[in-house]
Amino acid sequence: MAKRYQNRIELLQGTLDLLVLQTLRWGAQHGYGIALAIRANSGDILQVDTGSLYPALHRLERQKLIAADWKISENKQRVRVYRLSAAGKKKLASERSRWAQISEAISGILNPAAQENEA
Amino acid sequence: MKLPWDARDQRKQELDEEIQSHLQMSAHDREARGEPADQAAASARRELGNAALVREVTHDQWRWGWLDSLWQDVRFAARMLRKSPGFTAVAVLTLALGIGANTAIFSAVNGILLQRLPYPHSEELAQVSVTKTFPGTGRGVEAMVYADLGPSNWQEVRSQSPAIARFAMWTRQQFTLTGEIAPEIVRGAEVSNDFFPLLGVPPLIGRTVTAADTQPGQERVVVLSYALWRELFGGEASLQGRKINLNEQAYTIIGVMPPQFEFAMDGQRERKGLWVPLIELPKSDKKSEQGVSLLVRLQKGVSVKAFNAQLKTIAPRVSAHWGDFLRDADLVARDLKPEFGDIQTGLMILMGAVTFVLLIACVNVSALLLGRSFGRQREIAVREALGAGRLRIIRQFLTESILLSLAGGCAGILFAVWGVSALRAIAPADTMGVDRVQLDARVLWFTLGVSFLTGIVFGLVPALHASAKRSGAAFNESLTGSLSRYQSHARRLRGALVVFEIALAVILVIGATLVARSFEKLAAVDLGFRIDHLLTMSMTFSPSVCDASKTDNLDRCIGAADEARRRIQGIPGVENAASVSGLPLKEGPDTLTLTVEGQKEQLGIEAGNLIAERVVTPEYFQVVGLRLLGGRNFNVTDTKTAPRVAIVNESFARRFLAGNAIGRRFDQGDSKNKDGSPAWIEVVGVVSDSRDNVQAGGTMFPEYYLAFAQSQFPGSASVIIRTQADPLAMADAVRQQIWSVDKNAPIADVKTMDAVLSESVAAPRFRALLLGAFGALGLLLAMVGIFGVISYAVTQRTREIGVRMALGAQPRDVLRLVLGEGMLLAALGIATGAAGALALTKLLESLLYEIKPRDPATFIAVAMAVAAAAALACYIPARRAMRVDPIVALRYE
Repeated sequence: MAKRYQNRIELLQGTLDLLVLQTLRWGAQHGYGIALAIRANSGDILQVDTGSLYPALHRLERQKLIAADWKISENKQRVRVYRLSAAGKKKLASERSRWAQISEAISGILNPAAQENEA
Repeated sequence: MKLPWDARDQRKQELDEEIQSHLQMSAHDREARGEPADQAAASARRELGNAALVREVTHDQWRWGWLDSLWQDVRFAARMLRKSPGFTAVAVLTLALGIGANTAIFSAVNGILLQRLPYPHSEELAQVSVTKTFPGTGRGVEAMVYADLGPSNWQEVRSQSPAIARFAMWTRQQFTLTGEIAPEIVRGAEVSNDFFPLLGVPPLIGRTVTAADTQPGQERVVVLSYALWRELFGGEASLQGRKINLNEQAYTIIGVMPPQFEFAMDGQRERKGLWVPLIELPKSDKKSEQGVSLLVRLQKGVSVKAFNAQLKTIAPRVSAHWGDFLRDADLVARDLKPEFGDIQTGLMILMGAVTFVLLIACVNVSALLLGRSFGRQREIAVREALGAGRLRIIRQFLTESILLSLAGGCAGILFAVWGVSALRAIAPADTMGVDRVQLDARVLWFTLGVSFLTGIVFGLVPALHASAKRSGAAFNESLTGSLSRYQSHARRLRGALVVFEIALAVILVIGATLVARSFEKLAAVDLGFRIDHLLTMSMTFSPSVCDASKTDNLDRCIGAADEARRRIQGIPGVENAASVSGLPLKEGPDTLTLTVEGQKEQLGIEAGNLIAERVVTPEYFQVVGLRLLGGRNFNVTDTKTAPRVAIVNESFARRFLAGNAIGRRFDQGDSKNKDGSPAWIEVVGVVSDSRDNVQAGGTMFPEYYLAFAQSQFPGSASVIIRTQADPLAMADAVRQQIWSVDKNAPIADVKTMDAVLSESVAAPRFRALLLGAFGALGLLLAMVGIFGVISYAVTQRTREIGVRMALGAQPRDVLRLVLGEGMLLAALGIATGAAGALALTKLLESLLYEIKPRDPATFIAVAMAVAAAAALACYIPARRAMRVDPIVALRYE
């Protein structure tokens, strides 16, 4: 139901946005391609929910972090292709460093012994 | 222009295509991995999930998402309302009555109470006066005397107070305006040169008062109010050399103030006023220390409250120079807002009453909506099944109710237009600011706000009810159409609403009845004098006939007054005429102080009593019909040189002189004989009591009368004339006789005594009338409400009633059943309402006259009347129930 989907979007929002932006760093891609790439690059661990992906794409587009164009795919099919904007690149950089900080902090908490050993 | 929601269709198509291409690519990949073509498409769809939902959630990401769905809700709501025009019409009409009444009364509150002062930074302005408070007067209300000081005393206050930024002195004044028009009294003020700059209002034309104007011996100059300028000069822009005659002196007009400037005009409707320089007299002049009012502008950021704290410390340091009476008085600053007193209480009570009316209207519409939501269960169930959350359904319902209330608000404005013109027509003529009562922007914003709020108030209960979580069984029930449990919940809810609205109506009607009965008592009060066939007017002699400022002129003044009276008495059709210092019902008791010979204690305000004083000619008692109970009337021997005499009323004799009045003497404390002994006044007669102030809680005030011939006649008095026929028909003849003595005498307030009385009770009558109307409206709406609920219940129970009748119930039993249900609700409502009224009518106390706020007779009468009204409202559906044909009823489902 509507509510459940929206909850999941909220939970994943920051992360999914980051993953989408990161995926688009290597070039323009359509929605299906983005989903495939995230799945493949995470070693099949992260399955992107379509119900979250398209809202996320349209939200990022509204925030002008990505831009979209209609292109003809290899299969002669009209597809909507997203690419990273300049603002999106900046956003990706800052999000990446934030992510690094957070994951470092969290692993520090989860793994205090490693820190002590280093010290 | 492309509307946002038009561009949306294209985007929706694009999103569809995008999702479609996703599915195709996914299916293509699956086929490539070896799945059969038909299976691949299906599993691609399965993987995507609910495509409709994906679309909807994505739509929500677009900028106009919320507005778009709101628009959808509004369109849907409009469609639903159009589908049931009967319901919509009743609901809109009910709401329009409630909102219209609120708008009309708020426009009065807005026009009268909420007006801002027309001066920049008016919060910095304050008036300062010396205030002496007397504890408990006759009515247990403390009396305050606001006194003015002389200019040098005020200068002393100023030098001690750093909070004062600017400082101006002024004093109220009346001027006799003569010229080509009939002589007229114009109100205004003498003002110092700081006055206009302090208020910060520049003149519309010309200039205001300068320092040079306030020096003695200068050319006489005057600043006119806008309205006076329009009347005298038709709004001519050039004032070059224009003059007007004030008190028979020529004054040069130097400026005109803008229309909204009405300082010292006391809220009079014509807004005719003028301002002349307050002349700075040399110290040697006795009049140089006459009391003047003080107006200050405070330093930025200093509040009136902080200023008052400062004044408290200053008063003891400067009060030594104030004279005996004010020695220990306080210095008090007040802001410039007018004091509304009863008007404010009255308007707030009316605002409360219309709020009740609106609440009753809300409850009615709520009950109607509840009835409707029963028929919409299927729609709601389907929506829920399709994934609409509870909030979404509540929003849909609220959109509908707000749409209804906005329609009600629009129709209400039409009622209010009519209501405002009715208000202005029946409002007491002397109500300050009544001509500003109109539907301005602020009122319309208020209406909009109230409409929104109303929609939420009456829509919430049905919305919550309709969207309430139901079990699966209930869901199935709602689809099959048997709704017993849900239905009984709705019935209880509607019952509660009816109880609530009857309670509101009871409170409203009790309040209205109390005020109406109080007015009835007020109107029937025995005034102690005859008011029929009396013509009254005020008259002021011009300086050439009677210059009151010169004491040696007194004989001429009194002579002129006597002559005018004699001539009036000679008019055919005039029975008698008297001069009096203040008209009964207009001039009330005052804060006087008396000492009776042989008694130590002072009487009057120092002892907490208000006493009335009137200066009259001997004819007065006969003209107004007061009886002489003992002693003698004034006569020709009571001249200026004879011993001073007085006549007292019964209350005075009883309370202050132990009933033994004739021959006793008292002293007013204001004058002494040349040798310093008290200037005794001897009581020579006792007359019957009369009421001075109809509204003053029914007390007869002690009153004494002084002989006109022995008074310090100030050149201005009222004339009261008993006529044989219609008093107003004599008015012109009387004017001519007064003008034959003094052609420049302004004559004002020509009225019959009936009109004076009617004006003095105009405010209570107005309140009684409006509260009565709102009470009736509230009761009517409540009756409609109970009628609706009982009718609905009868329709729902047709089958049950049919069964009962088939089993042998008589029509009378059915009647009892239906009436019983209605009357149970009514009884609960009446009990709740009576309890509420017990708590609330206390607020009315200050408006009530000779009736207690918890008057048991009123409570019982209203309870019975409301019960009767409820019975009437139930009777119609009950009769229909009695006529139910069992066979038809049983076939019903």
